[in-house]
Amino acid sequence: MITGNGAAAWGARLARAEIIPNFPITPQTAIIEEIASWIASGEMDADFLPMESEHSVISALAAASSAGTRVFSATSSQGLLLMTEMMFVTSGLRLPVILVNVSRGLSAPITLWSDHNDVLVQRDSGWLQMFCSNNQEVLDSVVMGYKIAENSEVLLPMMINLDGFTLSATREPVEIPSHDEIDDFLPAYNPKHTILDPKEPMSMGGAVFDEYMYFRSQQRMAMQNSKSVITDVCAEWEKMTGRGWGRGLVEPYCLDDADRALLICGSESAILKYTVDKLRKDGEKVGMLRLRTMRPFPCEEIVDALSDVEEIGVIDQDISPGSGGIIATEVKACLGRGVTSFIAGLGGRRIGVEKYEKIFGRLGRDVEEWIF
Amino acid sequence: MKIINISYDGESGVPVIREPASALKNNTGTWRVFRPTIDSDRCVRCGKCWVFCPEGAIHVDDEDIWIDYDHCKGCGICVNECRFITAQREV
Amino acid sequence: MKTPDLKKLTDIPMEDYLVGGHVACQGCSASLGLRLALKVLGKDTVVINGSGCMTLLPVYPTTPLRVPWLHLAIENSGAAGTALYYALRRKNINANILCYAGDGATYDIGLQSLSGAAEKNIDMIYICYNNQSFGNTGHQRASSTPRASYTSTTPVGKVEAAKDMPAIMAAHKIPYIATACPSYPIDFVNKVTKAAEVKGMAYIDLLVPCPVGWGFDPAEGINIGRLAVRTGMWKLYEITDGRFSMSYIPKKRRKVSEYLRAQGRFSHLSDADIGAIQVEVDREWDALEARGYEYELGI
Repeated sequence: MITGNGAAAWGARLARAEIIPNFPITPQTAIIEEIASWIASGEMDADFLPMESEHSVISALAAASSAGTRVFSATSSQGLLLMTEMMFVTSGLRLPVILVNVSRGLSAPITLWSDHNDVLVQRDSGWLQMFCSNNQEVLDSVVMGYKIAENSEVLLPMMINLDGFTLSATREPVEIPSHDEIDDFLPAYNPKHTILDPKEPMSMGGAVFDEYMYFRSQQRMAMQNSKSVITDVCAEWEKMTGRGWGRGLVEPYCLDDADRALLICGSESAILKYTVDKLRKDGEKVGMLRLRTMRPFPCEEIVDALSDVEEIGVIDQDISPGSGGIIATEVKACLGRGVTSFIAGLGGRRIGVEKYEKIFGRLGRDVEEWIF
Repeated sequence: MKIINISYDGESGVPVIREPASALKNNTGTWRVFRPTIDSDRCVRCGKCWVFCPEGAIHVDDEDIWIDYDHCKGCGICVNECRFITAQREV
Repeated sequence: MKTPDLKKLTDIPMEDYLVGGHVACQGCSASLGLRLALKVLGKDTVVINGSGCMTLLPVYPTTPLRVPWLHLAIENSGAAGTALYYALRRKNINANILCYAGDGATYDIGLQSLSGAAEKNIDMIYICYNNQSFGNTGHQRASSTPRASYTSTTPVGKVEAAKDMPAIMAAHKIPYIATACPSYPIDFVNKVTKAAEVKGMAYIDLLVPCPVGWGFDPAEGINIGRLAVRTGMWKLYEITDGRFSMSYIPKKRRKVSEYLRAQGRFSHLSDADIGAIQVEVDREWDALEARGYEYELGI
């Protein structure tokens, strides 16, 4: 039984991350505390670098990754926002950094509780974004994350999101694979595209003129390539562990004959699944689609999964004031039809079975509705 | 959505410059307005012009001292430092 | 510590690790400073750069460097250097880590990150190439800008005095701190050698007269640097393990007007203004002389 934070730390340990720059922020801090204790006791061989800000953390991640080491860190909320400038630098330099975000609503006013606005601010930063629904998925995603990010068809950083407190502080049974298993699955990181070795001097991070658009196109293509890489890596993981997480990009639940469905991401999907089961017992044809990756955005997978569903709703634990639910906006664009957009669970506001039941009764309108 | 007109170039599409000192291909000598000339007969090999050249465009060996005019930007520091170096306007 | 033994210009290594063909301005002392530093640091050096003028040395697809170079952003050279120290150790690469960042990136936006690296006493050399302004963006005010200097954001002259950055570094108790100027190349390269030999962090504040920002002919850069030192407006010193010692004491200090009148950025000053600066500089040197040119900082 370990917490989501413990699972994230175990992911880094199993992947043999070598450099761990860090800065404390609630509700992430337990991840780095766990790693600090393992390094101190000799259970984990890594350098623990307490930095002076999250900006320095991401700078250290980028520099150490440029030099060809495998790196890991975790942050949350305001910390993730402080990293923003360097998020773009890291993806632009094509560094396969793995960063766990323990999601927490943004100030002001201050909240410690979870929602997805912090992650979604970084939506366009060129990072792969993975949302986890339980602690086992956190551990699995961190390990798989390295294999995906370091793939030569991808070479992009990845952010792995777990919801603050609901996952980060909650103990769940988690199967921890052995080091031997993971070493076979994930070879050591020895990059050729970036290295800071006097034997092979490269200049990184310089200016470009006309080539800027070319390099951006390469990032776009790398992100596009990542879709099949994620699917393949999840299939390989499933063969090894029995857990495929819906083969990567989305996890469909009871959608085969559904006439109504809700799209959601993160740990709230667990209670939504329970609600779907409950309503199905009453004969209602409801289903759920869980978004695992926000970037790459799994448009084809969403269309495939929801094409026969008549009424679709999207739960957004985020809000873009002036536009609406961020995920709903993207889903509408990819489906080419209206969906009912529900803004719920901001700042950790509990959604729960009753509210989900109410939401299922309110589909079929092209509106934005707030569920308090 | 299908992306129709770009392709993935793998590691060569990473913005890294791999060839050391490749800037020597750039001819910054075209910036020059005044051309320094060393009177090598009177040169005493003190090393001043060579040390102070921001471009590293002055070369010295056992036999000779010369200016790499492909990279000398004509700043005039060497002319200021040494009475055996003179400047003429480029024609 | 082995005492660096370069005595004459021709002792400076011939090999260049920063070559020409880059887009630094005519007569740029910052690129000269890097060229000289790399001569003594040699090929086993990795450079971290904070955004500034020197960031434009490598412009895709060409680089004037023969050593690895990483630029990330303006404010994080200290953090990048810290991580690089551990990463190179993991990769079994034995190399000098040189952070080469401007004064804006050092005194102002990058101070937090630099302080973090200094507090950890990371084994690296941090050279601040100091043109006393945000030079690359067109000479705006920085906390390193001296009092009275025109900048594009202090059109009538800066009111406040420059921050004493070496003293801030000394407060971090790092083993080696120095000031230098490329106009004194032997002094500078010997200091770089010491900085490389010292175990732990070394900080060198390198005054780089900037023809464009300061307003003088590019040919005059070396002379302007000499005048800064000979008028006593830029002091060359070292702080080794907490012990301050002057590296060069002008026998007879030149009048500050010689230095100030040679630059556009001080052209608005009246004789009375310059007189006041002379008084200030004289007072500093009197205090220094009274104390002796070498003493324990006691921090």
